[in-house]
Amino acid sequence: MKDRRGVAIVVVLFFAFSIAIILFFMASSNTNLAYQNKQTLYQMQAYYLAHSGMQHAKLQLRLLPKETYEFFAKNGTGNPYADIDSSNYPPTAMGVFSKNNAGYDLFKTNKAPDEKFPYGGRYYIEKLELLGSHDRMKMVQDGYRVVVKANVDGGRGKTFEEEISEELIVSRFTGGIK
Amino acid sequence: MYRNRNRQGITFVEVILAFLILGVIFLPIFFFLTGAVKDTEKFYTETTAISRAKFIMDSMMFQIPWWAIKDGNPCGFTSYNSVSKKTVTGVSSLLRRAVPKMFGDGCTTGNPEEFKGDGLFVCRKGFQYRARAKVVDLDYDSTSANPVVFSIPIPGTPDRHEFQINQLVSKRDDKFNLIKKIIVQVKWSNSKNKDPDSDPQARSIFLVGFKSDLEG
Repeated sequence: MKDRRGVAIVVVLFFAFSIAIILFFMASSNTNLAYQNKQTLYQMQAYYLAHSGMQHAKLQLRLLPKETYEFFAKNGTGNPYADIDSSNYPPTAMGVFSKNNAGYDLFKTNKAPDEKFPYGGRYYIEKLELLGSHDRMKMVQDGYRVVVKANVDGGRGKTFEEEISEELIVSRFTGGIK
Repeated sequence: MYRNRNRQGITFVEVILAFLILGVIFLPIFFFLTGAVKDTEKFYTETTAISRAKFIMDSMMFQIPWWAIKDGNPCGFTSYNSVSKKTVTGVSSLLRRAVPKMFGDGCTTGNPEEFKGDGLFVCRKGFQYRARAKVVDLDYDSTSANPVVFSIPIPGTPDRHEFQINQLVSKRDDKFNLIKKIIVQVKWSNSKNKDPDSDPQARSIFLVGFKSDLEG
């Protein structure tokens, strides 16, 4: 008969090792889920900030089509919409990640003041360029490309970024006078 | 008769001992698995809350007209356009369908053309969520100390074209306004059938957006 002493310890170790591996993967899978949910939320916040910036740019294009066109017509260089930056104006300035925001709650009285935000973040217009202008009628149409960037401060040095770009056509009434 | 004294069976004590050792090993595993199931439910509720917050924010940012959203905490929704002084049929049917789906029970008012951005909904697993949207008008008067300014540089000069909100838009609902700040909160309890309002352990997520008046 062969000597089988010591086999038991090998079997037990193998068994323990297998269980340890299963537990490790289960724990890490749960940790990943928590991390992914957090990532999704911050990235989604950056997405809405970027669209907020795009709407802000569209609003300015709608309100000031003549002034915007003239900037390019007079060989203006740089970004004429550099001023559209949420951090420039107190009503839109979200600031940076702050632990003071932790108590923010819309359901509790005085826990969500008008000037405060639950997040830190910013949107700004990265680039505005005139692609072309169709000016053979009283109603001129200008084509623009707008690039908007947004970032959200996730705390602990983490920043979540989003960039969107759109091409727009803006009508500009000239009354036939150029 | 000869008896074999070197018997090779397993005694009752050995069996009990084996069960005891297995119990000691499996007890923490059992606790771990129970915790994992709870964690999975926790992530499920969080995912549901994120998805609902996204639905609300998408609807408010991209679907519901700018003028139909009224400021407040909770905000209001109306299909009555104060400029045309008419109830807009398309917006009315949009609000009737969308707002209850966005916020759940409790978003209706006595007026069928008006809703509020606040409600309670229950997911299929029985967890309760409260959703609320706050809207702040960034209008000229309330932000006049530091209003949002619309400006463009004039090439070749250090000057800028600079406009205040009240120079660009006429008053609507007694306000010079072009941008609304939207904050959405979804709050939930990780205990089934428990209102998050009465749960001190309730969790929350937020989304923030700025909606510009692109319709005027």
